[in-house]
Amino acid sequence: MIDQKPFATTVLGIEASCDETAASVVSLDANGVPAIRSNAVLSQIADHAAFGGVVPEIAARAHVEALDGIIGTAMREAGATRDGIDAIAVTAGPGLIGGLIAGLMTAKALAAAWGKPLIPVSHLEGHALTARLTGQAEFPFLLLLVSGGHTQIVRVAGVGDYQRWGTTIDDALGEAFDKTAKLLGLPYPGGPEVEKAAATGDASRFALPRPLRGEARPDFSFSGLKTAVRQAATAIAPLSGQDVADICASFQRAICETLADRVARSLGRFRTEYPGVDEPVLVVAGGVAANRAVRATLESLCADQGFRFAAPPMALCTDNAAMIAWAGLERLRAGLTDETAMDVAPRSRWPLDEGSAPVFGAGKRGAKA
Amino acid sequence: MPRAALWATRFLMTLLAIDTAANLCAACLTDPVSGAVLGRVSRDIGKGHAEQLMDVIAEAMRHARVGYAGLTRLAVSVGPGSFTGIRVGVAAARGLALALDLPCAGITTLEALATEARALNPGRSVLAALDARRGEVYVQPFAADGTPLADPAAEAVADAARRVSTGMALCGTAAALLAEASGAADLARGPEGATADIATIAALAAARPVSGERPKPLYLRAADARPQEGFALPRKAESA
Repeated sequence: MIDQKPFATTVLGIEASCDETAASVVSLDANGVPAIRSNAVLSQIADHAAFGGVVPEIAARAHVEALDGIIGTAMREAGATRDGIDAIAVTAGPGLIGGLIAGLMTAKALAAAWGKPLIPVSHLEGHALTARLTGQAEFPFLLLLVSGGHTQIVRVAGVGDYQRWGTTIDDALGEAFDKTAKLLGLPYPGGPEVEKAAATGDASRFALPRPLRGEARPDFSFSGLKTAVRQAATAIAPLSGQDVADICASFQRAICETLADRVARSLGRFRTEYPGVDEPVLVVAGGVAANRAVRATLESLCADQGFRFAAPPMALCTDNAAMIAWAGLERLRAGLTDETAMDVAPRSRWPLDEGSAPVFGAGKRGAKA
Repeated sequence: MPRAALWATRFLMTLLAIDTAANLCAACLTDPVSGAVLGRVSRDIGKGHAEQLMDVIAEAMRHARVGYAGLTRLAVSVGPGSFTGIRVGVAAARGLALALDLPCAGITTLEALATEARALNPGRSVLAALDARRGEVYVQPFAADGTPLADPAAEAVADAARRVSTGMALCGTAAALLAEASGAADLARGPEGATADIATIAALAAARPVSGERPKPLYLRAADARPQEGFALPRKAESA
């Protein structure tokens, strides 16, 4: 078949690092305009709901049997053929090792059989570069990544040029939401449930801590807040529906005030380091970006500090393969490809900024965050 | 391409089999009609299959002088074995099947080991048994003609030992364990590895009718996960 090849560059992206199996075809046309030609995502939420969180072995098993189907769907929906694909990008880390292996091996097989370059991509780099796919930010900008697995603020200055300015020293923000939900008996995934309950709650009823407030270091901490929520809730158990709503509202307010305080540090640093940038941008990514209270907090913080707030559409904020295809496409065009990609091993731990010192959880597998 | 060569590539059948279910990282190319092995590579690596598999396949293809475009059928060992190893192989095989639009057969390590045991011990029925740790074995019995007598299963060693009878051939990593536990007489022993030779897996696949079914891992054990209970605080009984 002769492919018309109307696009300058087209990359197939594959993502299986947590509990979504995803594939996407992303192109850049001759004028440099990106297009998401397909974005197929298969969520495993139902498989894990009974366990109150993602079970790695269940996730790995589901990925192996879903990947080929979801890739076929993404190719069909994009109207793409093997001849129209320039490279295959895949999440090679960080994440759950079983899913990473399944995604990486599927991608290696496709790349080998089709004779295309394989581009292993960091899941975090996918999040970092999404705002360029959506045309919402130019280098340099600040990225706030808030998900179930990550909470970090990163200075993004170019493809492959990332500097982590702040990170959580214990739990991820999404994890704090999920654990609060679990404690209160709310269903999984807990983030949206906490937000729903908070809507009818009294945010001033419980005095919860604002971890690290006022400290100069730009990091995050949520473990103490989680403990405080547990103590406050345990003290008044059994809980009424209103108790649950009040705890959620108080928790969410503590989160928002903490975020505003912590993120402000990095906004100030960005202003100092990039005085020539007229309209600096804060990009938010990750599942917690769906929380309306968090979003409103960041919007008003940005307005106060003269930053533009950019949130990619939700489908591109949560785990997806369009961001992986796009990161691969950016790497391909920047010449940042790896000749030895067929031999790479997946990395459960893979800091975006390899030069940054591990804040916690550094073991033989490397820095956790 | 000269016309004769084009004809040749059209009608040559080539099967690629891969195995990463246990210690080996292996690939083999055969002519599924004649059974001839065209090229093979088998590395005893224990770990690191994800890094080495594509290189193992490429090397076997160089030996066979076959490219991906020359493949007509695929096969993969689906376990039981290492969960991670099985996934490496099955994910790669399904990726190749998708990329090349080829059928792919799933072959179990138990049937492949039993096939080798029967070849070594004609006329004997076979019990294939792999050490599954935690006091269990993965086990499957076969008649002397190769017909499976039960589905593969994970069983306690004592239960599996009751399947052993006089005159049987035992194979797999748990062969010695079950021979001793059973106390049965006149037992023959087949290959005692964790997986079979890659050419055996290819031969089994070649003999299987081509189907559109995609290979699935054979874990024989549920995922290690328990529903979380007792974590949530009690709620007041409320009338709505």
